[in-house]
Amino acid sequence: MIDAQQLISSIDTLPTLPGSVARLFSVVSGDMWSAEDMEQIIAPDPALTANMLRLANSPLFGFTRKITTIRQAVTLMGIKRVFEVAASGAFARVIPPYMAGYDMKASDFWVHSIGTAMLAERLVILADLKVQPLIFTAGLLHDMGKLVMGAYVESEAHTIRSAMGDGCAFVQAEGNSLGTSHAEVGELLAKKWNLPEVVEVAARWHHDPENTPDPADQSLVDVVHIADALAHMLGYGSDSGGLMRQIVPGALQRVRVTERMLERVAAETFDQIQGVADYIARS
Amino acid sequence: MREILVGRGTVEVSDDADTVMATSALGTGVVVIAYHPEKNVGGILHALLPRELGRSKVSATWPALFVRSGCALLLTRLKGLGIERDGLQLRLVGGAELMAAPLGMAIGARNLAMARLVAWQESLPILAVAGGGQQPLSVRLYIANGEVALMTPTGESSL
Repeated sequence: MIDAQQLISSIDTLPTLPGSVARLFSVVSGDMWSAEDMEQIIAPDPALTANMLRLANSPLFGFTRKITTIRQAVTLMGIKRVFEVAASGAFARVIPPYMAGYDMKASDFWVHSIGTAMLAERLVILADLKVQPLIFTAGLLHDMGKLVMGAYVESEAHTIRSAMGDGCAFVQAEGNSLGTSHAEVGELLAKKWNLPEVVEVAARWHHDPENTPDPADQSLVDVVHIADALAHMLGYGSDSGGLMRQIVPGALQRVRVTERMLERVAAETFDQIQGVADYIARS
Repeated sequence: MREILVGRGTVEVSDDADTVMATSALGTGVVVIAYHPEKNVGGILHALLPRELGRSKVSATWPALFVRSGCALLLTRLKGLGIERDGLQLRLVGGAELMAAPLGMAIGARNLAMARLVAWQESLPILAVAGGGQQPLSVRLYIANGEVALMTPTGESSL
């Protein structure tokens, strides 16, 4: 079991997501904003600026025209996409090279995170759902609790593997062994990083959509839950849990998704996700 | 030894005895391994979905994403190396499922079923199948002798 104080210390020692991401969100959430507002927040952080422009010109967002300034990015991509690129760039900086407990390299974790974000976004379009506009960011950051939990999971790896051998789902085995799960820790981390509430909610409930407290968040959580499982099914970022995971039937019913629709989502995002995976492998 | 990574949605073939082909971890996706033991030529299809999507652009641009069109591509690529169907042998790997997958959500099983159907339609013998379950598998094919190694998180075995 993880000692609560030890866990909080671990969260405190993790590199922080730049405060600029939270400030950007407050700009995105408001009605009054300008390219200048975005520039004022991003430009003082050289690493974030560099990462953002690098990603904006990568296959991840698929722009054919070269983007060289933040102002140009806002004009060409729109404010929502700029926020997503900035969040992706900032997140990439806090992923450790290897997450031993989950037996995951940073590149695999990154492909899984981006894959889930893209699958979620596509699912919303194909199923014609009305969900939060930040679905991409919620998908991107859904597993951020793993950044903290990796070391603890490693120490209990034998117990977790043994529980999975007895038919226990990975996230339940993690919770039973450690007294908390990466989903609960993800919620704590989202609060600490002052991330949008939708990110916090998706991180907390993505393995347990039936218990989402606020019905207004149900579709968001259902979509991230399904996209996460689909990303694992397709092999985007395999971890030590393998496919010892579930899709909750209620989530599929609520968003009215069929297997054929999931296949379409997988096929129509393949090119883009594979492009990202290849890009990461080359970087 | 030269290693060729067979990425998701791709087909690779080789007649170079100094080559080993390797895949990344498979989930519900399936790998179709075709090998001619007398000519020591082989290839791998790494597909994720059972069949093409109607008029979708991806069906034309990524035929190897789908088992059905990917198998056709694999056979065409082997033919390019002078290998006809006679004498070809198949091995199938992958097609895992989520635990407690809801009814009607069995992409892995459908991938394997499609690979078996294509094998039957093309009169190609299936030597071995390692599929189902929840473990991520990856595969290595040695062109020199057709040996196939199966890798799981806990070890390696031959197929």
